[in-house]
Amino acid sequence: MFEVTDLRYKYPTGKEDVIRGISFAFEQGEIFGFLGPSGAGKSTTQKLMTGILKGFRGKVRYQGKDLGGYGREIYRDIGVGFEVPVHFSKLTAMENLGFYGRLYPRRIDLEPLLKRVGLWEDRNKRVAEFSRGMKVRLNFVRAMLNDPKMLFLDEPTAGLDPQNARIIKDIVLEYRKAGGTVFLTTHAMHDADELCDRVAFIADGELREIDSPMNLKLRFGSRVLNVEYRDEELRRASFPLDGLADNQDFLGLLRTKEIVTIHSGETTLDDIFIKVTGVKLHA
Amino acid sequence: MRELMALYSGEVLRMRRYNIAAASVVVVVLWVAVLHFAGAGNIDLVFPLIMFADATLMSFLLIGVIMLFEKQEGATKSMLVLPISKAGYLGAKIAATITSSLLTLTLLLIYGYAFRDLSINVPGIYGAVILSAFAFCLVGLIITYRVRDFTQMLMSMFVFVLAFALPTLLEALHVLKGEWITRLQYLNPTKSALNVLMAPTGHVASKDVWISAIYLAVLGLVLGWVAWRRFDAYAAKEIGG
Repeated sequence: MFEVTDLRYKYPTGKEDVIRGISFAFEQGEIFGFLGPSGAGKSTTQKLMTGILKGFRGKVRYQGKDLGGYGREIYRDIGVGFEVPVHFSKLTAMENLGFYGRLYPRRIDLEPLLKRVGLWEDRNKRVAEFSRGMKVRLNFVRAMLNDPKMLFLDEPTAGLDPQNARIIKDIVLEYRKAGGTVFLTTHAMHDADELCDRVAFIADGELREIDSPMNLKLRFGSRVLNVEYRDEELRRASFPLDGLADNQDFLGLLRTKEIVTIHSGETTLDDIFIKVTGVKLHA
Repeated sequence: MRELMALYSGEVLRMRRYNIAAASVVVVVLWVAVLHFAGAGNIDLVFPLIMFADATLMSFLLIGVIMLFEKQEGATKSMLVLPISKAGYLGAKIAATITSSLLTLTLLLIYGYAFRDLSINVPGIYGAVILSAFAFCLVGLIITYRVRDFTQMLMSMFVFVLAFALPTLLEALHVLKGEWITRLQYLNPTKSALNVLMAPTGHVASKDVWISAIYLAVLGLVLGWVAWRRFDAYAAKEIGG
């Protein structure tokens, strides 16, 4: 679907490249996560891929064709969800969506989606009266408005409560199941872990790692089982996962001690990111 | 055309909701008051002066306000990922701004003909307002590319008034005199706008009217080209580049 090769970019007012020769590709029907801390180059890469920023070096191909070969018609196929609210605050939600919708040749039936994200009842309210979470959900509806084949989402759950974040994530997963492709820019590792087929870590404009979340966890995690047990005081022990069923020390512990917790030693994407890039995400 | 109409109707809706249209109506009321207190005599010569202020400075300011509201709310970002042309995007804003001037003109004409025995070439004044508003809203548009907020916009307008409108005013008051100032004023868009707006009264030499009309039309086209060319850099800046 998208193929990015040796992408480099320097802002017109900048002195050096902010994107430094990154390469990656993803297929139709894939959710590709692009993860990194603020200022790492995530949003810039997304803007280059959506054709909003021009003047890059390297190659970006969409459906086998150079991005430069597309005109504005590319926006009929792609939906872009921004992290910050992007609506006319003195228009109602429906007026906003109606205005944008008239500019697309193809658009979705708004009622089911607005109902699902919990905005149907408030559709005739001015956006200025919306909470931050409602504006984020409206951003998401705006991105889905043209029934896109490819969806770019920038922090789609930022500012949402867990229930609404769950709804958005479910819709994204259903969209993927129906053949849609998603480029997800986020620093929410939990979302990436849950949604993405593959993730790329970016730091200082360079890609440090690309793989599926599971493979990364296997590669960077330890194949151990960590046990906390009570033996007068709280104690910890680790056992290799390999041969665990025959590990007499482990089996003895289970039989004789009061087990408090048992966890496998797989690591989190947060920990892997810090290990790979040396950068703390929420620093 | 369908795209332009959809964008244009969006601009008009926002002008209503953001009270820009209401502010324009207030300005019309002020102009009516000016005409009302302009004395008991004929207002044929005062009328184009009022339209001069509206079609030039108000157009300059109005398109700036439209663009700045859009910028401040981040809505420009959303506009930039629509399958629309640059020409359509800019054209809709220009058309909405000119519409506001035409609405002002229509209301003032109704007042003038109903209450003040106005006698003016009506198609001529409509043409003059369209031409002047077209050129001046493009000046405002290009300046809006560079400003961050309303304060900077107002400062830019103040500088523009000092640089272009003041010489025209001083010439009209005979403070600035001489052949050289007359010739230099052919390059001044505010003087050209005043010439074409005074033309429907029959008080401007036809040579001056033609030179001014052609100058404004060419200036408008050149500024339109500049606005079109610089749009990508403006878009990159607005999107966070």
